[in-house]
Amino acid sequence: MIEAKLSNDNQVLVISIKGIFDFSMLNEFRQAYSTNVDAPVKVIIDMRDTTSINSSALGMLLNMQRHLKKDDREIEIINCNDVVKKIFNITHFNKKFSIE
Amino acid sequence: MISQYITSIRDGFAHFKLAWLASVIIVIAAGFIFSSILVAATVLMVSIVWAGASLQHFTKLREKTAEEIEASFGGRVDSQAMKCLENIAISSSYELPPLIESMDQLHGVISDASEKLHQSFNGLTKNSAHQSDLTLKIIDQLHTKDSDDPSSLIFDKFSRETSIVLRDYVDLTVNVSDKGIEAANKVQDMTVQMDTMFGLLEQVKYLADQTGLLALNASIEAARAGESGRGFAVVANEVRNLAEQSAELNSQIHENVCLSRESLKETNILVEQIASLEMNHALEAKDNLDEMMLELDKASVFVAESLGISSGISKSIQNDVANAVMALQYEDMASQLNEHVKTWLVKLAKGVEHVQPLLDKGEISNILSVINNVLEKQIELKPASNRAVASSSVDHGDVELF
Repeated sequence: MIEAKLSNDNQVLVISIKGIFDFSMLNEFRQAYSTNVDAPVKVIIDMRDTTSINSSALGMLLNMQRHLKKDDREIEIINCNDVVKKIFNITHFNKKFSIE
Repeated sequence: MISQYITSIRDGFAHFKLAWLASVIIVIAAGFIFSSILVAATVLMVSIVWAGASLQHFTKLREKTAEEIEASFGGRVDSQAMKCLENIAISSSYELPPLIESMDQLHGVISDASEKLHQSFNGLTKNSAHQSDLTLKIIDQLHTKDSDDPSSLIFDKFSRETSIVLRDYVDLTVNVSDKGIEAANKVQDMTVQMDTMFGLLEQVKYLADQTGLLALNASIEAARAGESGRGFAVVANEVRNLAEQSAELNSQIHENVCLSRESLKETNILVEQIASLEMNHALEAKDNLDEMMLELDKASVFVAESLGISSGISKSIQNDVANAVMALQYEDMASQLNEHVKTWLVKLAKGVEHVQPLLDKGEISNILSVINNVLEKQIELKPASNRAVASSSVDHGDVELF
């Protein structure tokens, strides 16, 4: 399940991903970053409740990056668990995204 | 006779001892009692004279005894000596030939064993050299030739390349997922566009229906107009036909778009399969690889060290063998000593043969002179070469290897 929250000043969009981040979240995730995309300067992907990911999540993040980078928006991924962090490390996502 | 002699000697000693003891006691006593040096000196001189007489008696007695011994033994010595010489000759004729034969056998055994040992050591040297060569070749093979670092083993290259393969695999996975998701997004876009198309088709269908209805109304109105509306009725009929054809086409398009939407759904599933790869495999592979690298590092160090040691051992074996071969030169000395002993034994046997016939008839003085002649010849012939081998050790001087 995906929740998208826009800050009061419309500057920051926080997208929280709950459960397994995989292909089944394709449309939901795309909507989360594309429908609220007009105002925010910064997009934060909160993975506090993300249990695991597969390669489609990586594809979705890259597609999101391409979509948002057109307007020079900052992206930050936060609260990853150890396994997810490991996957980001071996796929060199830690060099493509700001990961906390 | 001997006991008498011993008693006389004992008597002599007794006199001598007594005289000395008495003189010493008297000197001390005189010194103490009279404190007179003159008296003591006098007594001392008397005692010396006494002791001298005793010594003379002892010497005479000894000379007399020696003469008496020679006189009583003279006749018996000749016969005893003859018997002794005979026995020596007989036992020598029994003992010497087998001894000479044994020396020959000993020589054979030593040279045979020595030859076999030489063969073994030569084989050992060759094999050890071969082993050493192989070790060096292995060391050479294990070092990568294209690397700048000469100490880096082929394992390092292997591990580096494996890392590259894994990285390529991960990059490929990410790339496929990226493109797959992009395709899935496009499919999603197309699905949305098709839904729009369905809406439009509905409107087209509505238009066709309305046109048909209008045509129907028009033909009714034409019939009511009678003869004058006859032409209009034909047109209205044509319009109605066109409306029906239009509705037919519309439903065909609807059908095809429905099929396309089904195809898109299937495409979506395929794209999902392509884009969704479990990353656990890559993680496990990465962990295994890291572990393997560590093991390989350890193994390569161990192999390099072991090969170095092995190479050293081979050299040490070669040295040991060389020393052993050098030590085998003792065989040469043993043979020379053997030969020397044998020569002397043969000479001894010949001497005994020479003496034997004389023993039956001759007198002891004749026989002894013959023996002495033989011995003197030997002494003249070999004045200095008592030893067959000059040195008793192989450590001294250079020794050529066989």
